[in-house]
Amino acid sequence: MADKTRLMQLVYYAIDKASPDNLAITPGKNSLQAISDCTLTSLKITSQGVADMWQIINVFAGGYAGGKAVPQADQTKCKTVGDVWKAVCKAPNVDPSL
Amino acid sequence: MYRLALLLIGTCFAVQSALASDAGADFSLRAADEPAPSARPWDKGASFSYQNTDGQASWLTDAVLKAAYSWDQKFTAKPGQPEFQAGSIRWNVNAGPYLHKLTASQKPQNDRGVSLSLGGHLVPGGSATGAVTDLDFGITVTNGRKLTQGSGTLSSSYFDVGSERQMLSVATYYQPEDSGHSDLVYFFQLGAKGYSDNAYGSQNPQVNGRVNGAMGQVQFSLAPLGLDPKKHQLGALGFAPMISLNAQTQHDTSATGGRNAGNHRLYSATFSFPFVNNNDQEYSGPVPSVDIKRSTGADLLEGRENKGVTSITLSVKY
Repeated sequence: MADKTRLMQLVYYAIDKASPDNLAITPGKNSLQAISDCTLTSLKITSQGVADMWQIINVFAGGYAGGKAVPQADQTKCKTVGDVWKAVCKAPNVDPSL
Repeated sequence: MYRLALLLIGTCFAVQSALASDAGADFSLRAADEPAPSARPWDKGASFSYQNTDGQASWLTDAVLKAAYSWDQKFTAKPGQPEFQAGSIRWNVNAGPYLHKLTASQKPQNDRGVSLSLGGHLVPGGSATGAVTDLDFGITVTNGRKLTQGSGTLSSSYFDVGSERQMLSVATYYQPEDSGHSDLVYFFQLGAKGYSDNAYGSQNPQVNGRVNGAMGQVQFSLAPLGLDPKKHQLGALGFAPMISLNAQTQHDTSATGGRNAGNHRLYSATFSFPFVNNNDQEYSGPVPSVDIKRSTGADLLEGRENKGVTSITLSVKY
């Protein structure tokens, strides 16, 4: 359970890092659950930001819940924050419920 | 002179087989185009296009086959900081042949050879608040042959010469912190390169020689309606236009043989109007996009002489 929480923190950090909005200090957007329905484009994450986001996730996901890097084919299918979270959970077989 | 380039055939193919290991490294083999040896070849697929300029037809072929290997390096987190806030570098090594050929033209091109590049993409660590930044850096070495236009009394002739180039590059991306009050998105890309380009073995000594120099580049991109195509609909299709302004200056610091050192500038403005199918299940018709680009100036690293070009690219996805 602790690993899942840390995995959620990692994904939220990667998304916040890629977005010019200060999500963590914005009411209503300061958790992974709160932004799970948001598209990456609505958070103003450009294609360069998307690349940065996946680099952060793939480099560090291995440390949590047996996580593994998300394959490129799965990355391109992710349109929303929820899609990103499910793709990350798919590899280590973590329960994707938020 | 205005040039209307109509893309009749555009094929993109990328054969990529990635094997991810626990260490985060992967190996891939892909076919993609290389508009010029200096460009990052993994950005685009191979392409074959037809152009008609003032009644003269020509075919352009861009292709490259790359073997690529990449791996990740993480930094050590500061005490009390989560590990994932430490920052990381994704390293890439690419090697393979390239072909950039323009046939049946008054200004033919036939660049072919092999290239080897090593690069890194750095995502800094630390707080997630504030601007979005990252850094790309790399070194590229190419070796092959190319067609070069002669100078002096032979200026109208083209000579097949040996070509080798070494180039260092660094580029940064900067998207300022956003107030969140509007949909508008904008960002900057700043780049610098140092190069050493050598041409040799031509029967015309005027095209032989080495040129060393440096280049600076800045690009500003603006999405006035934001990035989310779902917010702006035209029928079943959404759209999110993008405007990009680019300026670069190239300064040759020294030249040997028959080549001359010079200064070159290139400016361009691009307006992209892509449509996106927002209703995948209900709409199965064509999805168009339009790109209008105006550029003026020269970029000798890309094989472009001083000229102004306006291009309109229409493409349709089914």
